[in-house]
Amino acid sequence: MQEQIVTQLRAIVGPEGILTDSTALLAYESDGLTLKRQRPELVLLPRDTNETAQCMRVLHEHGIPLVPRGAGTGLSGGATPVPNGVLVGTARMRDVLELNAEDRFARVQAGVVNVDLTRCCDGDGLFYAPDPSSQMACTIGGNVAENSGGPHCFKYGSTTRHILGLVIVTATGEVLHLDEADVDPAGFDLVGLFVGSEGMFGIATEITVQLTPIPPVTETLLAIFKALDPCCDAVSDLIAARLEPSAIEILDKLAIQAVEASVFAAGYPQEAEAVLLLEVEGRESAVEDTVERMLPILEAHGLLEVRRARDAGERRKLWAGRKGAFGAMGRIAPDLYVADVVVPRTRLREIVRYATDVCSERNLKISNVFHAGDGNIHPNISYDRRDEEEVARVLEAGDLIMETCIKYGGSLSGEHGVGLEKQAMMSRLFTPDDLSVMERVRRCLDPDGRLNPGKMFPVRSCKEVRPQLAGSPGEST
Amino acid sequence: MSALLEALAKDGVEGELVGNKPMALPTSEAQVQAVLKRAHADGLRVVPMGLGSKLEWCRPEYITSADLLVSTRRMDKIIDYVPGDGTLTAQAGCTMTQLEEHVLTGGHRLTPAVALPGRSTLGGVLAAGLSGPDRQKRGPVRHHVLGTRVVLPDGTLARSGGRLVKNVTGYDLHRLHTGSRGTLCILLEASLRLFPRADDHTHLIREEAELDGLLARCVELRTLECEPLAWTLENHGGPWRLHVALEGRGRAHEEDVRDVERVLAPQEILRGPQADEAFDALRGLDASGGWGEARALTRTSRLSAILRMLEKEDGLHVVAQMGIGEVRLQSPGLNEASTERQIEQLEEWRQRLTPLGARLEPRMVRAQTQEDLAPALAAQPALDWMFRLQDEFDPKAQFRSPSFPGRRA
Repeated sequence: MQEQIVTQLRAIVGPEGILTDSTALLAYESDGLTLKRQRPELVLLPRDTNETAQCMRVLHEHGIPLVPRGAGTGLSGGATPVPNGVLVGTARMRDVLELNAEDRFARVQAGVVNVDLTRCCDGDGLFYAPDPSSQMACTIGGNVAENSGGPHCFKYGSTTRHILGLVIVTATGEVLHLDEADVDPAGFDLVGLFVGSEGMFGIATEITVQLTPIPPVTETLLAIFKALDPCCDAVSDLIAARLEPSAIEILDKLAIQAVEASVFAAGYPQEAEAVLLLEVEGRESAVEDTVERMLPILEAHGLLEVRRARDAGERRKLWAGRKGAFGAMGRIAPDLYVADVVVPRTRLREIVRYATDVCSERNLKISNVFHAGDGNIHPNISYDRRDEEEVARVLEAGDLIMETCIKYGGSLSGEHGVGLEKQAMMSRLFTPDDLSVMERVRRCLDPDGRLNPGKMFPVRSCKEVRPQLAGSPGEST
Repeated sequence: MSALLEALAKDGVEGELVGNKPMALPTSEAQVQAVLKRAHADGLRVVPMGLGSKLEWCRPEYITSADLLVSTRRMDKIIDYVPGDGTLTAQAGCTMTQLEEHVLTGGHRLTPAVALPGRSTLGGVLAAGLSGPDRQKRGPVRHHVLGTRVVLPDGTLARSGGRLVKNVTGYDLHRLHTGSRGTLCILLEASLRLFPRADDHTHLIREEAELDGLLARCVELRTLECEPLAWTLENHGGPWRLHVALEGRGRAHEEDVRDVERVLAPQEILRGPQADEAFDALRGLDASGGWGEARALTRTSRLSAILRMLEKEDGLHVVAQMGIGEVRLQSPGLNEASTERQIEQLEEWRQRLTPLGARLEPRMVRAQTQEDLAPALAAQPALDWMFRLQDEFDPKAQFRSPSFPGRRA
């Protein structure tokens, strides 16, 4: 990158807000999808909306592509840098700007860590409901870009249902205020459109989020099963019975063993083939009633035992095991491919069985930890990326699982986004017209295609290869 | 029969005249595409509609400026109801009554609980971005649209989302379509998340001549553990009435009722079918009955001040959703008044409400009133993005409204 441009950018963000050293840039080569790597030309870490807008204007002036990044915990390659591009991180935008307990909302900078937001409003009896497994590290801005989920989204819904407003910096450096915490959008629902757009419409620098009252009573149950299939069937029956716990999560045997061997050990029974982690919230009598109605359904599917968290400490431990499961899998192999697909909740058993079989046939180690209540499964394949042949088998298994999900009426992603990982599969799910309409929306909001180029959309013809972005991830030349 | 309808008939599309306006009545996606391709080629101004119950406020200009109305009312098939998954997919022309009755067979409820469900189609409700009193518990309808199939002004068929309760694949264009008032596309089909039907329903009502006493009770109601289905304060010329509708099951529901009863001290407690009737009446309040109307949108903490201000206004009818921050203002005769009088009234409301932190949205008023007021009322920071989207999808301005999402310079 020309020194003159670097100087311009340094003048905006100061020496602490720009990284050019190759060693420092190493940390930004990939997000959680470590299969895809690309070193950025430089990393910008603006402190606020104004600095972000100034940086974006400079990048616009010089036609430089850029990739927005939160904490880099995404698992689909959404924050993988592009060749000759800049990475714009929100790591220094960490302020909670306003907390309004009466109207139950908070206005935060994009780099605020998910769990810190809940800690901040806990004293007012409120919490921020979306709780991705990476919530100890992931940022609200990243959650907005990916429309992140989490275990409790079964009850509360994904990120999009909790975003009231945004301040967006556009590709050209304009600042767009969509931040009045209003009942309905004035005009088109641009906030709803922006959430989940994977950093391709702009950078959200300030976010107004809805906060939720902490329920009076929370009951956490660990239901232990002798087999994975009936555990899945139990979930389908809980949904069909219209019961409303706040979270329904499954861990299979390999996942349990990995967790129990790690620092996240939660007391899961290692002899079990599967456990169901259930949470029920509400007033005490409602919680008791729901639990009473759930138990016969679980028993009908071969429940071995049910354990109840006796206090908040036990509850935290059970959830730490669940949320630490992906990290714990580092014990199985050095790398982890976390698939993220969705099926109708009536097809849960079939897709989990299929994923297990596909991996077994390819001699791959699969563990399952997933949001069963939403039909959102995460077959996790442990591998070693130094073994190219194994990598090929992993990718083949991932593709087959995605194809089968589509066949079952499912979708490619429940919460991780498309990014680089799934872009090639998009044309299996959507028609050329469907994709073309999405691309037209993108062109309206980023006509030069400089924001996170080469992501989400499959490359379908030469006309989509933009000369100024040649070689960007996902493109074939 | 107009020449246009005759031409459409040759494509196999039936139609009829509404007043002097030709209205196409396609029965399939292919027919909608055929109609729009013809309209696109001829540059006709099109207003999409269902049964037309919301046209008066969504697209009031249809009376004077549309060349062609396209109604999806004959596309009324329920495509897929999966009770085990809690999802419904239906064509845009299904009425809300039809859908409500259908999902009830599997133990589900649908949101929004709109007024006049038999005269409201799914497509119309979503295009209008309409909510009902059940929004208090369920949230706005845009949160529960899982996916849509639409036809663009040039006849292109496109899909967004899916039929799954959780799905982040591709852009959420269905969020853009919901509430776009038919200015971007025609909705053909939508998938919705459903809600379990509760076993028990109770409706509590307290009536008082003065507003202040009820507002004090609202403050306390907000601190309760229960989550009402609806929480509405209304005045139609007599005393103020505060409604709390509860749904639930068994002991927990009874505890909710006791808590609300303690705070509200209601004169009426209705249960079972009587509660359902009372809730239906509450839904019905959203039907304007042809009156001039506007919505004030604000934060819930500002509602008390706004209602106190409105209390002093003679002849004004008010419906406030207390947990949401929405107040509907209905003024008898305003829709019949001249454009000048309508503008005067709405401007007066705007000037009084804006300092209290509310945004005003006109409803049952003349098209010219909406258009003239648009610059003042729709001073949205993102109009440029909205216009860019309109220009991309509707380059011939066939679907464009003079007042929504704002007026162009």
